[in-house]
Amino acid sequence: MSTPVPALAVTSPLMWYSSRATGTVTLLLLTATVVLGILTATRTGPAAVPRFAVSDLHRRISLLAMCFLAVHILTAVLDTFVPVGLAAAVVPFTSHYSPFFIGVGAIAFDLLLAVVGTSLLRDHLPANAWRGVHWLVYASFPVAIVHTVGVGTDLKFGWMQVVTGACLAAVLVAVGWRLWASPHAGGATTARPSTRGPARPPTRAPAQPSTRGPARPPTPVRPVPSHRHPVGPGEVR
Amino acid sequence: MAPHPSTAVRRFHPHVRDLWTANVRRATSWVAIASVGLTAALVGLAAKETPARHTTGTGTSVGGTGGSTGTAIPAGGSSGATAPSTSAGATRSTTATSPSASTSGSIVQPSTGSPQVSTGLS
Repeated sequence: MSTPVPALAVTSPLMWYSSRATGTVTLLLLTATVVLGILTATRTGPAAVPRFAVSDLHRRISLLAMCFLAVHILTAVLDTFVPVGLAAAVVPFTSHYSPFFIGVGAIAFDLLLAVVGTSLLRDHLPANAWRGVHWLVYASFPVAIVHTVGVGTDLKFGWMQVVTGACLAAVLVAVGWRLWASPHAGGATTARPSTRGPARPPTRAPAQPSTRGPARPPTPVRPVPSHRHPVGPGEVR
Repeated sequence: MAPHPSTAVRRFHPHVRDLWTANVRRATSWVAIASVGLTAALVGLAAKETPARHTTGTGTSVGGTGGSTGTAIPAGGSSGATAPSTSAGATRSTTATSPSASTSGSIVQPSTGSPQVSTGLS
Protein backbone atom coordinates (compact mmCIF):
# COMPACT_ATOMS: atom_id res chain seq x y z
CA MET A 1 0.00 0.00 0.00
CA SER A 2 1.26 3.38 -0.77
CA THR A 3 0.27 6.59 0.79
CA PRO A 4 0.08 9.51 -1.58
CA VAL A 5 2.51 12.24 -0.82
CA PRO A 6 0.82 15.57 -0.25
CA ALA A 7 1.51 17.95 -3.04
CA LEU A 8 3.17 20.51 -0.81
CA ALA A 9 4.96 18.16 1.47
CA VAL A 10 8.63 18.72 1.10
CA THR A 11 10.81 15.93 2.20
CA SER A 12 14.08 17.64 1.58
CA PRO A 13 15.88 19.03 4.60
CA LEU A 14 16.51 22.13 2.55
CA MET A 15 13.20 23.54 3.77
CA TRP A 16 14.18 23.09 7.35
CA TYR A 17 17.59 24.63 6.84
CA SER A 18 16.07 27.49 4.85
CA SER A 19 13.57 28.21 7.58
CA ARG A 20 16.32 28.43 10.15
CA ALA A 21 18.53 30.57 7.94
CA THR A 22 15.82 33.00 6.92
CA GLY A 23 14.76 33.30 10.54
CA THR A 24 18.24 34.46 11.46
CA VAL A 25 18.42 36.88 8.56
CA THR A 26 14.96 38.20 9.40
CA LEU A 27 16.10 38.92 12.93
CA LEU A 28 19.07 40.88 11.59
CA LEU A 29 16.92 42.84 9.14
CA LEU A 30 14.30 43.52 11.79
CA THR A 31 17.02 44.85 14.06
CA ALA A 32 18.28 47.12 11.30
CA THR A 33 14.74 48.30 10.66
CA VAL A 34 14.11 49.18 14.29
CA VAL A 35 17.43 50.94 14.67
CA LEU A 36 16.95 52.90 11.47
CA GLY A 37 13.45 53.84 12.55
CA ILE A 38 14.72 55.12 15.87
CA LEU A 39 17.50 57.03 14.13
CA THR A 40 14.90 58.60 11.91
CA ALA A 41 12.55 59.48 14.72
CA THR A 42 15.25 60.98 16.91
CA ARG A 43 16.81 62.73 13.94
CA THR A 44 20.20 61.36 14.64
CA GLY A 45 22.66 59.73 12.36
CA PRO A 46 25.40 60.72 10.00
CA ALA A 47 25.29 64.39 9.33
CA ALA A 48 26.15 63.83 5.69
CA VAL A 49 23.10 61.68 5.11
CA PRO A 50 19.82 63.53 4.85
CA ARG A 51 17.05 62.29 7.03
CA PHE A 52 14.73 61.52 4.18
CA ALA A 53 17.34 59.08 2.92
CA VAL A 54 17.51 57.36 6.30
CA SER A 55 13.73 57.22 6.38
CA ASP A 56 13.62 55.79 2.87
CA LEU A 57 16.22 53.18 3.79
CA HIS A 58 14.16 52.31 6.87
CA ARG A 59 11.10 51.66 4.73
CA ARG A 60 12.95 49.56 2.17
CA ILE A 61 14.77 47.46 4.74
CA SER A 62 11.51 46.84 6.56
CA LEU A 63 9.90 45.53 3.37
CA LEU A 64 12.94 43.35 2.78
CA ALA A 65 12.60 42.02 6.31
CA MET A 66 8.97 41.16 5.62
CA CYS A 67 9.98 39.26 2.48
CA PHE A 68 12.45 37.17 4.44
CA LEU A 69 9.87 36.69 7.18
CA ALA A 70 7.42 35.39 4.60
CA VAL A 71 10.01 32.92 3.32
CA HIS A 72 10.78 31.92 6.91
CA ILE A 73 7.13 31.14 7.59
CA LEU A 74 6.49 29.42 4.28
CA THR A 75 9.48 27.13 4.59
CA ALA A 76 8.48 26.27 8.15
CA VAL A 77 4.99 25.40 6.99
CA LEU A 78 6.13 23.43 3.96
CA ASP A 79 8.67 21.49 5.91
CA THR A 80 7.05 18.32 7.09
CA PHE A 81 9.39 17.49 9.91
CA VAL A 82 7.72 19.80 12.39
CA PRO A 83 3.94 20.13 12.22
CA VAL A 84 3.51 23.88 11.87
CA GLY A 85 0.42 24.67 9.90
CA LEU A 86 -0.30 27.79 7.99
CA ALA A 87 -2.98 28.76 10.49
CA ALA A 88 -0.55 28.36 13.35
CA ALA A 89 1.71 30.90 11.71
CA VAL A 90 -1.01 33.52 11.98
CA VAL A 91 -3.23 32.40 14.86
CA PRO A 92 -1.22 32.29 18.08
CA PHE A 93 -0.94 29.19 20.20
CA THR A 94 -2.56 26.81 17.75
CA SER A 95 0.54 24.95 16.73
CA HIS A 96 0.99 21.36 17.77
CA TYR A 97 4.73 21.81 17.82
CA SER A 98 5.99 24.04 20.62
CA PRO A 99 2.69 25.89 20.86
CA PHE A 100 3.90 28.67 23.13
CA PHE A 101 6.99 29.74 21.25
CA ILE A 102 5.45 29.25 17.82
CA GLY A 103 2.49 31.23 19.11
CA VAL A 104 4.82 33.98 20.25
CA GLY A 105 6.28 34.06 16.76
CA ALA A 106 2.77 34.30 15.35
CA ILE A 107 2.11 37.27 17.60
CA ALA A 108 5.25 38.99 16.35
CA PHE A 109 4.19 38.28 12.77
CA ASP A 110 0.72 39.68 13.37
CA LEU A 111 2.12 42.82 14.95
CA LEU A 112 4.48 43.35 12.04
CA LEU A 113 1.68 42.75 9.58
CA ALA A 114 -0.35 45.45 11.28
CA VAL A 115 2.57 47.86 11.22
CA VAL A 116 3.41 47.26 7.58
CA GLY A 117 -0.22 47.24 6.51
CA THR A 118 -1.00 50.53 8.18
CA SER A 119 2.17 52.03 6.78
CA LEU A 120 1.18 51.04 3.27
CA LEU A 121 -2.25 52.57 3.87
CA ARG A 122 -0.89 55.54 5.71
CA ASP A 123 -2.39 58.15 3.43
CA HIS A 124 -5.84 56.77 4.11
CA LEU A 125 -5.55 56.53 7.88
CA PRO A 126 -5.73 59.09 10.65
CA ALA A 127 -2.30 60.08 11.74
CA ASN A 128 -2.81 59.06 15.33
CA ALA A 129 -4.02 55.62 14.30
CA TRP A 130 -0.99 55.06 12.14
CA ARG A 131 1.33 56.26 14.87
CA GLY A 132 -0.34 54.14 17.51
CA VAL A 133 -0.04 51.02 15.41
CA HIS A 134 3.53 51.85 14.50
CA TRP A 135 4.46 51.84 18.15
CA LEU A 136 3.66 48.13 18.14
CA VAL A 137 7.10 47.62 16.66
CA TYR A 138 8.50 48.09 20.11
CA ALA A 139 6.38 45.17 21.26
CA SER A 140 7.07 42.94 18.30
CA PHE A 141 10.83 42.96 18.63
CA PRO A 142 11.10 41.46 22.13
CA VAL A 143 8.39 38.99 21.17
CA ALA A 144 10.47 37.97 18.17
CA ILE A 145 13.48 37.57 20.44
CA VAL A 146 11.48 35.28 22.72
CA HIS A 147 10.46 33.25 19.68
CA THR A 148 14.09 33.03 18.59
CA VAL A 149 15.30 31.94 21.99
CA GLY A 150 12.44 29.49 22.46
CA VAL A 151 12.51 27.55 19.21
CA GLY A 152 15.74 28.64 17.59
CA THR A 153 17.60 25.49 16.72
CA ASP A 154 20.78 27.37 15.97
CA LEU A 155 20.88 28.95 19.39
CA LYS A 156 22.92 26.03 20.58
CA PHE A 157 25.76 27.43 18.51
CA GLY A 158 27.88 30.20 19.89
CA TRP A 159 27.63 32.37 16.79
CA MET A 160 23.85 32.45 17.02
CA GLN A 161 24.02 33.46 20.64
CA VAL A 162 26.34 36.28 19.64
CA VAL A 163 24.00 37.35 16.82
CA THR A 164 20.96 37.32 19.08
CA GLY A 165 22.76 39.17 21.82
CA ALA A 166 24.06 41.77 19.39
CA CYS A 167 20.61 42.35 17.93
CA LEU A 168 19.11 42.73 21.38
CA ALA A 169 21.89 45.06 22.49
CA ALA A 170 21.59 47.20 19.37
CA VAL A 171 17.87 47.70 19.87
CA LEU A 172 18.24 48.32 23.60
CA VAL A 173 20.89 50.96 22.94
CA ALA A 174 18.72 52.57 20.28
CA VAL A 175 15.66 52.58 22.53
CA GLY A 176 17.72 53.95 25.37
CA TRP A 177 19.00 56.64 23.09
CA ARG A 178 15.48 57.46 22.06
CA LEU A 179 14.27 57.66 25.65
CA TRP A 180 17.24 59.82 26.54
CA ALA A 181 16.96 62.03 23.51
CA SER A 182 13.25 62.72 23.74
CA PRO A 183 13.17 64.64 27.04
CA HIS A 184 16.44 66.37 26.26
CA ALA A 185 15.30 67.49 22.88
CA GLY A 186 11.68 68.10 23.64
CA GLY A 187 10.43 64.94 22.05
CA ALA A 188 11.04 63.16 18.84
CA THR A 189 9.04 65.69 16.93
CA THR A 190 11.36 68.52 17.71
CA ALA A 191 15.05 68.87 17.96
CA ARG A 192 17.95 66.60 17.34
CA PRO A 193 19.83 66.11 20.59
CA SER A 194 22.87 68.26 20.41
CA THR A 195 26.24 66.95 21.37
CA ARG A 196 27.75 70.38 21.37
CA GLY A 197 25.94 71.82 24.31
CA PRO A 198 22.51 72.57 25.61
CA ALA A 199 19.80 72.98 23.08
CA ARG A 200 18.94 76.46 22.08
CA PRO A 201 15.52 77.68 23.04
CA PRO A 202 13.07 77.43 20.19
CA THR A 203 12.22 81.07 20.34
CA ARG A 204 14.62 83.78 19.51
CA ALA A 205 15.47 86.25 22.22
CA PRO A 206 14.02 89.73 21.95
CA ALA A 207 15.85 91.67 19.36
CA GLN A 208 18.60 93.82 20.63
CA PRO A 209 19.15 97.18 19.10
CA SER A 210 21.73 96.66 16.47
CA THR A 211 24.58 98.94 15.90
CA ARG A 212 25.31 97.54 12.48
CA GLY A 213 22.28 98.70 10.67
CA PRO A 214 18.59 98.13 10.48
CA ALA A 215 17.30 94.93 11.91
CA ARG A 216 16.56 92.23 9.39
CA PRO A 217 12.94 91.14 9.37
CA PRO A 218 12.44 87.73 10.91
CA THR A 219 12.37 84.80 8.57
CA PRO A 220 8.86 83.46 8.28
CA VAL A 221 8.30 79.97 9.47
CA ARG A 222 7.64 77.65 6.60
CA PRO A 223 4.27 76.06 7.20
CA VAL A 224 4.17 72.32 7.25
CA PRO A 225 1.80 70.90 4.69
CA SER A 226 -1.39 69.81 6.31
CA HIS A 227 -1.46 66.45 4.58
CA ARG A 228 1.70 65.35 6.32
CA HIS A 229 1.33 63.12 9.30
CA PRO A 230 2.93 63.81 12.63
CA VAL A 231 6.13 62.09 13.38
CA GLY A 232 5.86 58.53 14.56
CA PRO A 233 8.42 56.17 15.95
CA GLY A 234 9.91 55.51 12.57
CA GLU A 235 9.22 58.59 10.60
CA VAL A 236 10.41 62.10 10.25
CA ARG A 237 8.51 65.12 9.22
CA MET B 1 10.93 83.93 14.00
CA ALA B 2 13.30 81.48 12.44
CA PRO B 3 12.86 77.83 13.21
CA HIS B 4 15.47 76.10 15.20
CA PRO B 5 18.14 74.76 12.89
CA SER B 6 17.56 71.25 14.11
CA THR B 7 13.84 71.45 13.51
CA ALA B 8 13.90 73.21 10.22
CA VAL B 9 12.73 71.19 7.28
CA ARG B 10 15.57 71.11 4.85
CA ARG B 11 14.58 71.38 1.26
CA PHE B 12 16.67 69.54 -1.24
CA HIS B 13 17.04 70.21 -4.85
CA PRO B 14 15.22 67.56 -6.86
CA HIS B 15 18.48 66.40 -8.36
CA VAL B 16 19.99 65.94 -4.92
CA ARG B 17 16.90 64.10 -3.80
CA ASP B 18 17.04 61.83 -6.82
CA LEU B 19 20.69 61.18 -6.16
CA TRP B 20 20.02 60.14 -2.59
CA THR B 21 17.07 58.03 -3.63
CA ALA B 22 19.30 56.20 -6.08
CA ASN B 23 21.88 55.73 -3.36
CA VAL B 24 19.30 54.30 -1.02
CA ARG B 25 18.04 52.00 -3.72
CA ARG B 26 21.56 50.81 -4.39
CA ALA B 27 22.20 50.27 -0.69
CA THR B 28 18.99 48.31 -0.38
CA SER B 29 20.04 46.12 -3.27
CA TRP B 30 23.33 45.39 -1.60
CA VAL B 31 21.59 44.58 1.65
CA ALA B 32 19.27 42.22 -0.21
CA ILE B 33 22.18 40.52 -1.94
CA ALA B 34 24.04 40.21 1.33
CA SER B 35 20.95 38.78 2.99
CA VAL B 36 20.51 36.16 0.30
CA GLY B 37 24.18 35.29 0.53
CA LEU B 38 24.00 35.05 4.29
CA THR B 39 20.96 32.83 3.98
CA ALA B 40 22.79 30.52 1.61
CA ALA B 41 25.77 30.42 3.94
CA LEU B 42 23.57 29.59 6.91
CA VAL B 43 21.83 26.86 4.95
CA GLY B 44 25.21 25.38 4.14
CA LEU B 45 26.28 25.66 7.73
CA ALA B 46 23.11 23.99 8.95
CA ALA B 47 23.52 21.19 6.46
CA LYS B 48 27.07 20.71 7.56
CA GLU B 49 26.51 20.79 11.29
CA THR B 50 23.22 18.95 11.57
CA PRO B 51 23.31 16.28 8.92
CA ALA B 52 21.43 13.63 10.82
CA ARG B 53 18.12 15.28 11.43
CA HIS B 54 16.50 14.70 8.09
CA THR B 55 18.60 12.01 6.57
CA THR B 56 16.93 8.94 5.23
CA GLY B 57 17.39 5.99 7.44
CA THR B 58 19.86 3.45 6.31
CA GLY B 59 19.98 0.45 8.47
CA THR B 60 17.74 1.12 11.39
CA SER B 61 14.62 2.41 9.79
CA VAL B 62 12.49 -0.21 8.25
CA GLY B 63 9.41 0.05 6.13
CA GLY B 64 6.22 1.49 7.43
CA THR B 65 6.54 5.16 8.01
CA GLY B 66 10.25 5.00 7.89
CA GLY B 67 12.62 5.45 5.06
CA SER B 68 11.41 4.26 1.75
CA THR B 69 14.70 2.77 0.80
CA GLY B 70 15.89 1.70 4.15
CA THR B 71 17.72 -1.48 4.57
CA ALA B 72 15.87 -3.91 6.69
CA ILE B 73 17.44 -5.45 9.67
CA PRO B 74 15.75 -8.73 10.02
CA ALA B 75 14.95 -10.46 13.18
CA GLY B 76 17.98 -12.09 14.56
CA GLY B 77 20.24 -9.43 13.26
CA SER B 78 21.33 -11.03 10.08
CA SER B 79 22.28 -8.62 7.45
CA GLY B 80 21.81 -8.39 3.81
CA ALA B 81 18.08 -8.40 3.37
CA THR B 82 16.83 -5.31 1.71
CA ALA B 83 13.17 -4.63 2.07
CA PRO B 84 12.07 -1.65 0.07
CA SER B 85 9.06 -0.18 1.67
CA THR B 86 5.93 0.24 -0.31
CA SER B 87 4.93 3.14 1.81
CA ALA B 88 5.36 6.48 0.19
CA GLY B 89 4.72 8.37 3.33
CA ALA B 90 7.19 10.32 5.27
CA THR B 91 10.61 9.50 4.00
CA ARG B 92 12.59 11.43 6.53
CA SER B 93 12.98 8.98 9.28
CA THR B 94 15.53 9.51 11.90
CA THR B 95 17.11 7.09 14.17
CA ALA B 96 15.93 9.10 17.13
CA THR B 97 12.28 9.59 16.41
CA SER B 98 11.28 6.91 14.00
CA PRO B 99 8.74 4.72 15.66
CA SER B 100 9.85 1.79 13.58
CA ALA B 101 13.49 2.00 14.41
CA SER B 102 14.60 -1.42 15.26
CA THR B 103 16.98 -2.52 17.83
CA SER B 104 19.16 -5.45 17.29
CA GLY B 105 17.38 -8.71 17.53
CA SER B 106 13.86 -7.36 17.57
CA ILE B 107 11.22 -8.09 15.03
CA VAL B 108 10.34 -5.10 13.01
CA GLN B 109 6.74 -4.50 12.12
CA PRO B 110 5.82 -1.92 9.55
CA SER B 111 3.37 0.53 10.96
CA THR B 112 1.37 1.02 7.82
CA GLY B 113 0.67 -0.89 4.71
CA SER B 114 0.70 -4.57 4.35
CA PRO B 115 2.60 -6.67 6.79
CA GLN B 116 6.12 -6.80 5.65
CA VAL B 117 8.22 -8.60 8.14
CA SER B 118 11.66 -9.14 6.93
CA THR B 119 13.01 -12.51 7.75
CA GLY B 120 16.29 -12.18 6.09
CA LEU B 121 15.27 -14.54 3.37
CA SER B 122 14.49 -12.73 0.25
